[in-house]
Amino acid sequence: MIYLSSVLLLIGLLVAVASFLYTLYSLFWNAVKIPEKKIRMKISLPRRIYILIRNVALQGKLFKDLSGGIMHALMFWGFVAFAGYSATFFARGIDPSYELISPGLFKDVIFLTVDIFAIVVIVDVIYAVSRRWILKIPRYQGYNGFEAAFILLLVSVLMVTYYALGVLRMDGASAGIPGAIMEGIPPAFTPVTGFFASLFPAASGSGAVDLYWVLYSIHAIDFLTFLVYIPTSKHLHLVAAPLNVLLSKDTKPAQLTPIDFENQKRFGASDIRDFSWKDYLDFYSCTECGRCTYNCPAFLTGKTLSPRDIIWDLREVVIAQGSKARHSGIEERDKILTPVIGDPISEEDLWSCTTCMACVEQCPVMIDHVEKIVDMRRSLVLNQGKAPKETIETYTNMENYGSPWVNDPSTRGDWAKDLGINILSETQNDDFDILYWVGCVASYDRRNQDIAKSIVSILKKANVKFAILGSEEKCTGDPAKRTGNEYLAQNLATANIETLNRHKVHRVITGCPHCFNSLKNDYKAMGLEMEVIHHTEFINQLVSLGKLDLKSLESDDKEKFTYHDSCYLGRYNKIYEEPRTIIKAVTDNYEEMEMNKSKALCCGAGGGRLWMNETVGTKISHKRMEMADKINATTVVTACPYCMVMLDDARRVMGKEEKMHITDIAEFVASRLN
Amino acid sequence: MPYNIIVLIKVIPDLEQIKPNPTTGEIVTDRTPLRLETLSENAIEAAVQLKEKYGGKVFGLIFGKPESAPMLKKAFAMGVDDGIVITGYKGNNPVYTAEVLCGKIKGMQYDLIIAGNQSADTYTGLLPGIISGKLGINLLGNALTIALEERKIRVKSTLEKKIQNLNATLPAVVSVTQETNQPRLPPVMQIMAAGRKQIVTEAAQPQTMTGTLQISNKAPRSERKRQLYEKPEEGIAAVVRAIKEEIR
Amino acid sequence: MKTLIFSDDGEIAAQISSYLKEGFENTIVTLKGEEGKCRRSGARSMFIFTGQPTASGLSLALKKLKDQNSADLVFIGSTAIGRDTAGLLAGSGGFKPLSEVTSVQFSNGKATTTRYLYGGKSVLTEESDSNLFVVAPGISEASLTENETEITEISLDQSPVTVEGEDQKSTGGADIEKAKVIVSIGRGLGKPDGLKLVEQLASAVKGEIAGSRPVCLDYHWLSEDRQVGLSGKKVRPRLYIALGISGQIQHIAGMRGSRTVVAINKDKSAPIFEECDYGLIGDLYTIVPKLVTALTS
Repeated sequence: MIYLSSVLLLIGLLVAVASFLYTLYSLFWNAVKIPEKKIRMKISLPRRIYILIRNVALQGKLFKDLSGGIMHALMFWGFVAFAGYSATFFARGIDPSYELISPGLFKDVIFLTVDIFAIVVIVDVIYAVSRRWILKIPRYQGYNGFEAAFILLLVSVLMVTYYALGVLRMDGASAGIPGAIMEGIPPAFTPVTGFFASLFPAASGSGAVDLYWVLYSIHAIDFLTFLVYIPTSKHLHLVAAPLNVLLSKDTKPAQLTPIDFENQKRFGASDIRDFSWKDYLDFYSCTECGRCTYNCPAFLTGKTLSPRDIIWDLREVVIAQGSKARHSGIEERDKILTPVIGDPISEEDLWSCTTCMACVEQCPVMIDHVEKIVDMRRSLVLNQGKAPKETIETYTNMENYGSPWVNDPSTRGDWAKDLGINILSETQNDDFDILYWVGCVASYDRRNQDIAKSIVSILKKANVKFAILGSEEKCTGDPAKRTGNEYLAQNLATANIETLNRHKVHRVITGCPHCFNSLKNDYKAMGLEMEVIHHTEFINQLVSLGKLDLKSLESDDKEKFTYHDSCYLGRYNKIYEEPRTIIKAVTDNYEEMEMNKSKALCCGAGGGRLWMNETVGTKISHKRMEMADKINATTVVTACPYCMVMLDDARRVMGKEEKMHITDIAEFVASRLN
Repeated sequence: MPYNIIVLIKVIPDLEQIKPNPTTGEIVTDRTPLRLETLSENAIEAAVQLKEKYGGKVFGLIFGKPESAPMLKKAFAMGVDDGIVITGYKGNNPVYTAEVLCGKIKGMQYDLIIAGNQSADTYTGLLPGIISGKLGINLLGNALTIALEERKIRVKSTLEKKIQNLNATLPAVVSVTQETNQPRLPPVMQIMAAGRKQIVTEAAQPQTMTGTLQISNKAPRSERKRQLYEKPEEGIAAVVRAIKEEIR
Repeated sequence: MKTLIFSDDGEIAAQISSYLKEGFENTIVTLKGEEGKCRRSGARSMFIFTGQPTASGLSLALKKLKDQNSADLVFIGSTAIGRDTAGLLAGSGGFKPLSEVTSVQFSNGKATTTRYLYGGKSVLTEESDSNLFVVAPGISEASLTENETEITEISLDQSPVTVEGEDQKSTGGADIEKAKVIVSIGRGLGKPDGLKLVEQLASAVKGEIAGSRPVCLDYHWLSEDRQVGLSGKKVRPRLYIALGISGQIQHIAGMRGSRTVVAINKDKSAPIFEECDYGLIGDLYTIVPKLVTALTS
């Protein structure tokens, strides 16, 4: 009997491990062999290890959803503890004389941990079940209920049989049974099992031994089933996610991978070969938890875009076509790999994305949804010339006028004509310390010109020697880049870099987070080295150095201020505190809206959406203004011209002009200068 | 069956960037950036769509200046197969323009000539008719849709109040409108391939132009007047005068 | 001088005939059904074409009429078919055309004309010996006489281009892109009832009504095809009257090409005042009625 059980267990384990490894091999080898997109990763190993510890061992990003995070972390830690137990279980089950972990205090402590965590996991399973089926947490609904139920069943059976076996062992039923691995552990180190044992009358005799065998088999089969099941289900994340976190592109949003137009043949992502191995790892890591989708501004306002579905749909295509494609020749591969745009991913969904990064920010396993969406936009724009009509117009304008709108470029600096400042296109006087990069919106939009003027007055007050480019400035290319027109974006960037070099610019301040991100990150990737500062950072420095003397206005007492985070400032560049510090330096009447800082709701303008129609569902900007209204804010402070355009419009359309003001942080400061 | 299509492409100074000389009020366009006329884009799109449907070749013809050459590359990127830039454009004189273009076209094999119906800079709208008259071929103007069958052409022609279904035989001149189609955004591969193409230019024949004498070319007025009246009653008279002037 | 005036739009033909009063002997030609005003526009003689008009058919028939009447000058109204007809006449020889003229004067055998160039950004004054003028609509008001001119019907010649049926254009949809005058409303109108007042102004200036995005897409006071702006239509009318429009950049993008802009808004700091020729700061409900009265009296 003992011999038979050892053999069966060995065979079972070999089969399960073989199946587990083969499935993994197949998936990961697909990820190596099929992708053609090349990526560069530049993060140091210590940094990677830090990220791994923070986000896997400590489950860091999971706690962005606190209750879900606690549930998952307990399950995760429970399983880590349980791994030691399981290894010992199989080692002993196959060779009863084998001691995987030598007896002693170390082993005792491991088993103590297991004994405690097993009950925690059982309670956690009950909580998980109730979240999905009783509390009906929205983000779980409609997604793989069967898989979830099956896994939860396996987990709970594993834990219950663990205790049952322990109880029977204490009753002596395990004598001579190979898997009785806890022998030798002092009862004090298995307190929960001891507690359960005390609840039941001691079992004895052959009945108890038979029962032990039955539970022993169930426990073993449960574990092996789990092993086989993992790589074929969403629980693949148990393997893929830690790897994905280790190999991630860091917690800062990755810059979009540039395209080498001279040497590449395929642009953007049309089918699954156009993604990178890292993208595949992203697909494999997805657990369909839905945090991304339930933080997506498009989804939250009734659009059909769901970042989770984008990832999951791509994963299904990879699983359906991957192995077949890997085993076939190049010509055959062209037939096997079908376009992913259209079916399963709709063009409309791709254009709904504001590239706000809320999904990426939330994803516990560090999936980058946005780069994939932009890659698919690239495929549409660069290969097929497809984009929303208004977007195509903005491309034409950017080409002809260097601005997304129809604006005569020679008038770009007109707003500053009477301010007595150095306009480089007119003076060609390179004697300045810092360049103020105005951006298209502030150059041409009447409302936003006030903000530019405020920035000028602050710079003057701080005695900064600055200049603007005037008509030599062009759109940075952000709206083109984020809508997938990398070609146009690179052309604009090349022209701007040439101009910046010609004027020997080393420091730039800008009031536009989109320009800021382009200049700071995109242009840097193209080889431009300069210091780029956003006006929130700059003003904050000036205030903290005492170079700006701010007074509060009498009216400030009657106001309630709140700050709306710009995605390209916040999530893209981690600037959350500077604007808040500035506001709070002047007034105490400050309150946060719901969804703030890293969870902030987009205004709806990013990713080129400022120039598209928003016709489905409610407007994102309106939802944001409702949030401001909910806390009875009288002034919403922004730091982004896109946000200003969107929120100012929402405020007017919603009839809240009288009640609520929108002001840029620069205006906020300029009006309070002493 | 495949068709040989000639598309007439106009390059114009960018209207948004045209400015009067601040002292004389004269309009100078010498240094204004050039662009493809919008209707020419519609014409190119129509020609390329016909090629894609029936087969054949599209030949782009620009009568402009040497600086117009990049615009032919744009046309190539949109799907025009071949083309030429005729240099020596001397300003708006549709009869002379037609003479030069027809001189070139007469030596070519073609079934269809497509052009925009009215260009945004001069707004003459005469060129399709003049070319049709000079070449002695049929004119089907203001086409919304174009269908070909053997040597027959059918066009839905949009007039002010109605749409006519026109029939004729090839060869023919067709003019298109902005409603005819949505010009495509060229795929990058084609933009790059077009960039590598050589542009052939030749001088206009005949070189002399007769006709009108330009007396002046002035901006009707400069910028927005921005006459603001904080007491609206005081402004009503001026506003009424301005309105009457414009609706005259 | 003897003239031959043609337009498929009777109104335009009558305008030209009224414009060419002193020293001209006008023969006016239009299509059957369009003769109304032409009959009383003071022309010496009048013809109407019957049958389906095509540019080729019209050019052949007009050539014949010109020769029969030994007309010195031909004037054609600028319409889609009119321009094509003029082009064909010019192309088949014997004509020196000038297009889109907004005024014409003759002295010493020369014509001095004006026309708009570059989308209205400049006015071109030219001297020429042209004898075929395509005339922009609205060169003058059609002034009507008591006397009615005799009409002779002419059947249009066979044309190599044939017409196989026609469709009426749907009149329901507004064509604000082509409108010469636009009265545009914004959120500042406040209530859909205000449209009645707007309609009065629109009819006084013979304009189309258009609106900003909120008015068309958010409130549905107007249909979507009347939306002016970046995401709506780009308009270039001669006159754009903005009522209660603040003038966000997205809206300005759609109306920047307008020749004359009048703005009425109670918010003095509204950006539209930067983009207007005439701005009245105040309540549109008090200003517009005064405008309507002044315009109709």
